[in-house]
Amino acid sequence: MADDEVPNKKEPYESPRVSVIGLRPEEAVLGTCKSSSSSGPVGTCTGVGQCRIPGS
Amino acid sequence: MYVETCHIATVQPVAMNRAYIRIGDVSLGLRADSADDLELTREMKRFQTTPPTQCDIELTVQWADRLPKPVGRKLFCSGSVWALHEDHDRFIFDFATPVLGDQPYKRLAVDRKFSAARLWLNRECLPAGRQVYPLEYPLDELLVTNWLGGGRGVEVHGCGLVDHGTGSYLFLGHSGAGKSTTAHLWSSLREAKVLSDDRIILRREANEIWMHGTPWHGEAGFASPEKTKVEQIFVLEHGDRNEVLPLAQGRAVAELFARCFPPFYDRDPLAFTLSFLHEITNRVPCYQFRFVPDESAVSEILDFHG
Repeated sequence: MADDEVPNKKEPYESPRVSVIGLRPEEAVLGTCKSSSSSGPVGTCTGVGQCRIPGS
Repeated sequence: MYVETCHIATVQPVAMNRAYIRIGDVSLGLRADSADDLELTREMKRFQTTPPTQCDIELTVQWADRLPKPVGRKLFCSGSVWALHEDHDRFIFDFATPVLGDQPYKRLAVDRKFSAARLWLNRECLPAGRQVYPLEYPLDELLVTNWLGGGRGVEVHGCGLVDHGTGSYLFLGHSGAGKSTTAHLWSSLREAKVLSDDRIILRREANEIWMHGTPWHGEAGFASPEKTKVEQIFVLEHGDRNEVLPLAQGRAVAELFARCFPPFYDRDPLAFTLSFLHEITNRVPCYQFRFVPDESAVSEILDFHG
């Protein structure tokens, strides 16, 4: 097949799109309490809603 | 013998007592003078293991009478209980909370490969007679995730499970996205093993991506030391109906990055994390999963064949 017979398969132009990805820095940095059974510095966990550790 | 390490005068431990755990195929060896200083939480005990030939991370636990302020450059403040300083060729993690006073209640000094660490517990902050867990969160997770960042893997915010009839699934999600709900649904409706409902470690194994359970569970409390190959990844999102949507690769990498725990303060491990997430999206199909939190969400996944 000659070159000039190759069909033009160029896809139509599509404008770039911006996608917003939700980052949550407070979750990506380890440190907030995980559960009342295993978290809180040396057993000082006071329970959900009462924690005094910043970010918890 | 007295030594001056990290500007702390302490008694060098004989460290005859040992404990070993393995999380995500990362072996961690602990040593201390007293067996009381090696106490593990209930969740962590499930990850205890026999002594390996060589531990990936060695941690020595000892006490200090007090912990003075670190002198090195501050690299990172977590906004919660810990801050990171550098001290020559080491990292210094200080853990502090107003609950326990002005000083750090413990300090971790670790080499830059995260293979050798020393933990000082502060006598002034930690009252005698009170049980202390040296690996207490988030120190345990910091050690493992940083070690993984050295070209070995990544931890993600997700629920990983194996359905014995259909295969393995990893559901990624921020807090409140439905990870624990997903774990409850699958474990109650199917013959499924949940590795974790909150934290999963991903590693390459023979050109496949494998997921490992961790002790750091979510509200549903699933924490298993088992592992399995990842076959599909779904990014969870609440919706009005169940819907599996394709994710372009660039978007998938970004969604994974938004749900992982990268070492923000260290360039090379951060670059590795991005590269590894890209590799994961090359090897494992990734989708967005909008779902309603009931039985139909499980059926939707079972009926989905890519």
